[in-house]
Amino acid sequence: MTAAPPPLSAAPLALAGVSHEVAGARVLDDVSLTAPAGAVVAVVGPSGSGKTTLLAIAGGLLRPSAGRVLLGGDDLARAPERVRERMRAREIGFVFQGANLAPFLTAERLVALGARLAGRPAAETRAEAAALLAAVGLERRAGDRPGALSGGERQRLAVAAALAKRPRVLLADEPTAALDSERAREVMELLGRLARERGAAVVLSTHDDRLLDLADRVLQLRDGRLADG
Amino acid sequence: MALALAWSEIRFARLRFALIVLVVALLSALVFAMGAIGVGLGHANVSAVRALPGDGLALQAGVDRSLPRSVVTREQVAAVGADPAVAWAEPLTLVSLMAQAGGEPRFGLSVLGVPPDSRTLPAGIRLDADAAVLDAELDAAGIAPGTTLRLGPRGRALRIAATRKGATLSHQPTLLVADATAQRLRADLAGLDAGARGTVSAVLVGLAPGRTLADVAVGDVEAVAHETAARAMPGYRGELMTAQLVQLCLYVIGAALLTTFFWMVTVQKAGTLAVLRAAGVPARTLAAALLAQVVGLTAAGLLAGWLLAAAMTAAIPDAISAVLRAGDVLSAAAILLALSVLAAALALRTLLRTDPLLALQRP
Repeated sequence: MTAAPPPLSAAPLALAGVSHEVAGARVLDDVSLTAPAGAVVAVVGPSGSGKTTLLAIAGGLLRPSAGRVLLGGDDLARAPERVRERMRAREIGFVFQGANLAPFLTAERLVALGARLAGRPAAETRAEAAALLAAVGLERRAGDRPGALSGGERQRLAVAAALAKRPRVLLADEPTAALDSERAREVMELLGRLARERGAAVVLSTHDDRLLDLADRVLQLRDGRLADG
Repeated sequence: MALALAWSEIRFARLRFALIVLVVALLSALVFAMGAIGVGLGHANVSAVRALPGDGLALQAGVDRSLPRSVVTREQVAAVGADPAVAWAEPLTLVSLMAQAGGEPRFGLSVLGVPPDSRTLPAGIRLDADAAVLDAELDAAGIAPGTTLRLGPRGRALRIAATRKGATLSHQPTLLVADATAQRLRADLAGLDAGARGTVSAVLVGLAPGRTLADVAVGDVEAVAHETAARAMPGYRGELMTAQLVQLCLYVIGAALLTTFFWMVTVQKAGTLAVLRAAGVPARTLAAALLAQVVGLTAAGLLAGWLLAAAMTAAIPDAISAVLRAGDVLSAAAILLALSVLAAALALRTLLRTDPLLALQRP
């Protein structure tokens, strides 16, 4: 069963009938979902259920075997690589598992890089980075690299770097996996607050049931098929 | 953006990149030093020929333009001087023998017999029968103007009237003496009591305006440029090719080393590259950052290598000739820089093939 989607054109991100096979095995099976602006959609499911593959397809990192991935008016599933690269630079923010960040950039430069990728002039990016770091409580760590930050700080930095693009869609893969309950809740609240403030649609994967009350919508992914949780 | 990324990474991994610079510096210092030794060897073998005045040398035909093997008769000297293509001509006699100054150890000399008022002499010097002009290389051994040298098996005494710089032949200092003195020294070597007007080795030639060496038409004599005669000196090509072969080997080793270094550095940061590509950093920006790093690090290494080679060539003993010329260093540096960029090609291929999907794997 698939979750009932609202009209595809109304949402920043919509997946329609997406299936994906790897070496003959079906990892996703006819998945459809929409992510409205300012809402947090949580995809839950056991390991191997296809959560990471779903996010990779939604973010234009992987082409599905079938179906459409609509971001604005563009179908990422069929767009040339150049267009997918541009969409990732300007329209999609990623928060990777374990806050996987470029280790050689300072917090300020990581956030500024997001703004630069989105095409904003260099003169604006410093101020933008400072504002975002302040919004996630890292204004005092602007000159530190990811390796010098705690797990929670890295995760908050990853959120700031992703939001610096002012993306339509923010995709987060297990953003709280490495955090204790208190820090996990803090990051989830931050994601929700900033998404609402900036009008971004958030799709995140998690297996932490304690945080699902913070999501606007919870979808269950099991054996590659999606259902409302 | 590419330069900022490249610089940030260099600052972050200072030690790793410093090691690459060190390897490039050591490698380029060896390449530069080998080039300097090659030039130095050639210089020590033939610099006296290159320093000769005039447009060329008339040598005996059929001796592969080899000055030590050439024998020219006095009649041929006169015929060369009378040739319409020739403005002036001077006989040149080459004799190789041992010399001694006071009680010092004996050493080898290349004696060049020239007319007493030869154009080869320093300004204001005229050679009489017991005067000579020595290569300044022996200044360091305390042999200066005023010193008396004893030459050949009979210990013929000659007074040093002056010195001149950069004139060695067959890796020996040269001694300019009067033509008649050279003939006597040659006779001493042969155990003969010869007169002062035997054969000579070659004829120094100054061309008439608008004429070329090919216009010199004297039987059994071949007129060639100084550089041609220099390159035909025994051992010159062998020494040069040996030094060039060593340099070539260093280039090959360098290319392999740089390829491995840049490729390994790129493979090690595959995860970071995937994160950046997933975030939308264009592949061409990452490629430009890599190339900027390669060019910047190689340039820094080459500069350090140049300084190191200069220190090495200054420190090596005088017995080893080494001439570090800026033009040679720049040519070798250009080759090494090009090799570095080529070496980065494999790393570039790895970079461009990095799947951004890797960013979703556990760090």
